[in-house]
Amino acid sequence: MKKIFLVCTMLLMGSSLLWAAGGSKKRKPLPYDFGAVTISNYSQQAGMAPVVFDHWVHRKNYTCRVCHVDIGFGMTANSTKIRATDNAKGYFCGSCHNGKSTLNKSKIFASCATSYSREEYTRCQRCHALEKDPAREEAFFSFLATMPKETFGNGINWEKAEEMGALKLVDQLDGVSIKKVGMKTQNDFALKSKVDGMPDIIFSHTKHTVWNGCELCHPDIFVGIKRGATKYTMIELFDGKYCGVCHDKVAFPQTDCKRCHAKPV
Amino acid sequence: MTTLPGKLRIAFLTGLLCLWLIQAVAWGEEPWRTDFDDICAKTDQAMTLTLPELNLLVERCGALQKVIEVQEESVRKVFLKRLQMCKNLYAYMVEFKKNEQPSK
Repeated sequence: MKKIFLVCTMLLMGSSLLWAAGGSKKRKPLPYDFGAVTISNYSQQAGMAPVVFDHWVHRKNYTCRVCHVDIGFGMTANSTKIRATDNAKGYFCGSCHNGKSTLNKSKIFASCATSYSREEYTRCQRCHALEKDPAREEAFFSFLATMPKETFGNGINWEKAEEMGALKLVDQLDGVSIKKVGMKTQNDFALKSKVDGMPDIIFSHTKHTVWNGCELCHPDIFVGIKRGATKYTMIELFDGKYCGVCHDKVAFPQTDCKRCHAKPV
Repeated sequence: MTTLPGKLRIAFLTGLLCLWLIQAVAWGEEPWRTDFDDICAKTDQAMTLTLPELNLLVERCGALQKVIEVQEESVRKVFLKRLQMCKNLYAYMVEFKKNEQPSK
């Protein structure tokens, strides 16, 4: 146990050193801000504030696959280069934010258009808003109160929430998603830990394939399909590669060692 | 029951036919989109597909890419990315299966 603690501490110190070496100080985001992405490709040119995208709002309703495979959003901030014209044609945000689509029988508000009236500008500000919005913060904490807790990240154990039935994620969008034949259930598997005394990793392949599909991770994030084919270190993960593409940014942080290094010793 | 006079009946039927045609056009997907759905619907089965099946899918992705490249910008942006993800997966599976063959 002491050994595990020592390894975790070393990893934390190592990652802190890496950040320091990079010359950038990373502030640990508040639970409310965890996973929030600021998108600012064209907003300022159009006289708008950048979009602050709250991941949790979408994650509580949709699988990752719906947005990152079926709609085609990139995995890094500003990589998709979304324009109001794209949204207006029913792509990207406009796939759902079109004023017609519904979620839980409520109409989803439309994304803002290329031209807008003074009244419509209020709607634009629902996403184009850099300032802290107490209402959005309040909405997060009300939601958090109903969810199973987690120490790290935004304080929500999403996996448990789904298992408990507290979340029912939408996995298909009419007119956007392709109807596929049900995927063969993938088994979870163990990956050998490289450090003595650190428990092996139990990789929840089942959960990852249900939420992401195959093409989101293979081959772009994980080149190997055979178990153990992709070799990586914790330093690379903390550097945003492999598991680090999602974990630390949106999914639970990698400092929560026990979530992955979970094989009983 | 009253029957419609001859000319009125023809006008009514023509109207119905026009409505049906308009609906068919509106609901009908473009051929490339049907092709796209057909190609990318198999990603979840990629591991169980045979080498010839995978090769064919990669070829189809290449052909479809050319069609999507001439569509309008938003369509290009969305569907080229989506197609690339399917193609990469199938191409990777081709490599994987080829490398696996000699050891069998």
